[in-house]
Amino acid sequence: MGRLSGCRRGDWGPRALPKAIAALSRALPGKPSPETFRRAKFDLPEAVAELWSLLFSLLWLIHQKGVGSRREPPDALEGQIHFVKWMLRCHGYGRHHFYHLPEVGSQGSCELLLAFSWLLEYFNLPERFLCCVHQVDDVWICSCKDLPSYRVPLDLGPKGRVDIRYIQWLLGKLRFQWRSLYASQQEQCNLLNKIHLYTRGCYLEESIDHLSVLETELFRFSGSTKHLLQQLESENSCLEGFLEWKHMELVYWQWMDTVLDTRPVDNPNTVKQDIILPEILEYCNPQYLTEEMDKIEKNLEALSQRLQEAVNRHRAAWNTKVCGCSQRLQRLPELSTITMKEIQEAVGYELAALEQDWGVKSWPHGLHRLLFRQAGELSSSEIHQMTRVIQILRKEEARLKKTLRSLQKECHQELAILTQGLEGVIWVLPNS
Amino acid sequence: MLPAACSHRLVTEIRAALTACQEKEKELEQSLARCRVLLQPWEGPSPPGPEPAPSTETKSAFSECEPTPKDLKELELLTQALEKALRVRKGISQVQAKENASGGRATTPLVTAQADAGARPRTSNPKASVPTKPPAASQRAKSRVKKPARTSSNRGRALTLANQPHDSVPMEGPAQPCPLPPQGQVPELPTPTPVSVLKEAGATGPNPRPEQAKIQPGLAPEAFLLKDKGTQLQLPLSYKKIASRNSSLWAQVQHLQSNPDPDVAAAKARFLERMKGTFDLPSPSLSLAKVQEEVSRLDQACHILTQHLEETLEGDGELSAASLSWEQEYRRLVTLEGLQAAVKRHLLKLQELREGYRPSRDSAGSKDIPEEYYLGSRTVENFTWDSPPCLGGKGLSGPTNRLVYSSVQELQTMTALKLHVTMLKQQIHLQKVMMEEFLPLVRSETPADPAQLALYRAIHSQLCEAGECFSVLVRDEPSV
Repeated sequence: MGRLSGCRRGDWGPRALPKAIAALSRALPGKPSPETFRRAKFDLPEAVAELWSLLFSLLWLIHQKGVGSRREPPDALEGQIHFVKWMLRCHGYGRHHFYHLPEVGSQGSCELLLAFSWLLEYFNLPERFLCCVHQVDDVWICSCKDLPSYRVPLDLGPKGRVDIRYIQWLLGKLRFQWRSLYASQQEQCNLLNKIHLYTRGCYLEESIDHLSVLETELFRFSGSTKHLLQQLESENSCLEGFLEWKHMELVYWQWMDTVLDTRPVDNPNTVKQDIILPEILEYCNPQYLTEEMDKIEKNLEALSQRLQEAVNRHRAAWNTKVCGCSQRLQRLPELSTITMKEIQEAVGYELAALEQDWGVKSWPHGLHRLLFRQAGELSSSEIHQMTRVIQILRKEEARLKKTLRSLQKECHQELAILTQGLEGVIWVLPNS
Repeated sequence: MLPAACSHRLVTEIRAALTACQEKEKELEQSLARCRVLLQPWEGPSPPGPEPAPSTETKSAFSECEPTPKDLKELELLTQALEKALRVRKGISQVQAKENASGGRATTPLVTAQADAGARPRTSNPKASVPTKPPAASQRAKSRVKKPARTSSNRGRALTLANQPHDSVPMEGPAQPCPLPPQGQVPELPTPTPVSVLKEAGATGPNPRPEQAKIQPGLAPEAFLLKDKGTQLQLPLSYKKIASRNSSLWAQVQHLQSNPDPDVAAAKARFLERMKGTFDLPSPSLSLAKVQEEVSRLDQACHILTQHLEETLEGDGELSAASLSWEQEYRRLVTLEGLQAAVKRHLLKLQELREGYRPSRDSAGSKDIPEEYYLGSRTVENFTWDSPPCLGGKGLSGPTNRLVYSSVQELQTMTALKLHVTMLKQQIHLQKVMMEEFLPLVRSETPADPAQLALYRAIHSQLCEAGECFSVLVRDEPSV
């Protein structure tokens, strides 16, 4: 497990808390200092600026990761404070003392400390920022079954009217892009395979026996070694900080309890007004959510209708079948009640699994390191991996093709009024 | 012409798709350049050493981490200038003697290439035109496809190193075991190059190809060295230590993820509860972010249920009900009813969400909300390729997942399929957008004039045939 497993709870001395915080700061981007935390507990004003900037940098990173567009971060303190308040409000943080903190960053370090700890817990923070910098030859496989829903920022692009031919041209350009991408990618595979082939036999680990591109470059360009080593060093220190933090986390949370105790408790009967500052609206677009909900409702309704028809149809067919049978016999020999129950249960489990699954990604989702091995040397677990991945991808491809074709068919039907009903024009369909 | 809102949206969407493609293309180009550089012959007259040479080579382009295509181009210009100097110094006759002498070397394929291309008479030309041609040649060669330029630049690089023995890149592995004597080889290699460069400059497109194809086997002996001496490529000790520490740390992290500490979890939960107790702002039961999360989950649910429905109904058209066994049919019925119940549940949930979330904000001011600002939720996905922000699962993507492949075809098939899947997803999205924008247009008015007819024809082809086939419209004039 590592050298840290020897620590036992209760053995920690008074230096445990600063150590824990130091470890935490190694694991977080932003690197807050333990002294800041101590000051914040006593609500000293010196800690305020650093805590605001820490909160801002963390929330901005989270925001950027979740959102596609790359915006410029606000660099004035006021803008940053706005952003922090907005993000926390949207995620349901509700201490009104916090929102009433002045925007010049002069007081409130204790409140900020509480907000920071809340963030740690709510966003699962040190874990979230752990990322692997060490790039080996890897491939990202996304086995999300659904279509990604994304919103394109609409302020780009000209606002004038365009001709349909421009759209056709753009779409044609897109098609060509795809083709050239395909060609480049095939070549990339080829070259990668060559490098793997040629560098076989020179790795130390038993399971990997060839170099990756990055490692081969170490031989080619001496300068890159330094850079890579530095990257790896910083990643190692981040990971070590994280592991140490995880072992000493309890001390921190116990301490935070005491910090919370120091805060004055307000009279619960006073009514607090909601914080809706008009400036915060600048960042929030409630229309987006309402539109989303409308869209989903429409989809669900359409699905419900389709299901209704399908169910009716199948029920009717089933009933005729059953009736036809029971006229001849007393009961259904082909399908006993027990079997029916079993089937019901099985289907129930299946559907329940469906509903749970869409939070969890199944294999092979995620980043995978590509390894080359000759066909004869594959171990039993590996031998079908690639075939399975290819199978999954083929299935997905077939499903998507079907969806696209059904959409096109739908369009055909919709446009049938055009193709069949125009006066004075004969519409000859292609391939017809 | 299309109406403004429609145009705007379509143009934006398609442009976004194009940008995504272009970014991906750029990434691919960069990694291709990296791989190519590694596969080309490595030069290295300097002695190898386990640690990198002292940093005196900051001027040299090689001390950069990765040669960008731009660097390669600049390098090519530099090497061509040096080649000119070498040519002038050594003379072409020496080249001819060396070319004839080196049998079975890397230069032979070059000679054969030249012979095949019938460019032999040209070899005498450069001598005469050396002073005037090279600038033009280098200009034209520069504008050629990258491949020929690469080989020349690489050989030129060898030349550069030979001329600057002190601050050259130390090759740790392949330099020493390189059987071709560096000093002897280096003068040979660049000299056919100016010929080849000039040949390319004068030749038409197809010509560099056979040369390129011939050069590849010429490269093989060098790269073959890499393969042969693969075991001698010792990774620097410092790297090995750090990399192994890195993988052991990641393993510890993953172990920790799978065995969370219950005490800590309890302490965190207690703190959270206490904090929540102190929350004194009037707020809806679900925060905005949570609502968004629920909404996207419902969206996913809808997709998955639709997919399941289609899978269940797959055999509907082909098989008649009678040919299914009793169990299969009953199973199908139960599945459909189960799906129906699930959809009803989700609709109810959506209703609840709507009631809980009231966009009362828009009453607080009729400010013009810029549309690019919107909330990024914790789990929303983006349409970027290979993007780690699929934060739905809790698995960290540490470097311990392995995917083993055993042939190039497998790898190529897999990546081609991945690409196709992404492309189909994009196509489906664009199709939906176009349907939303075009169908109302078509439904609203019947076409009157030829321009509108042309528009409708275009719309029809785009929506129904993916823009690949077009209908033919024939005017049906009543004969008078």
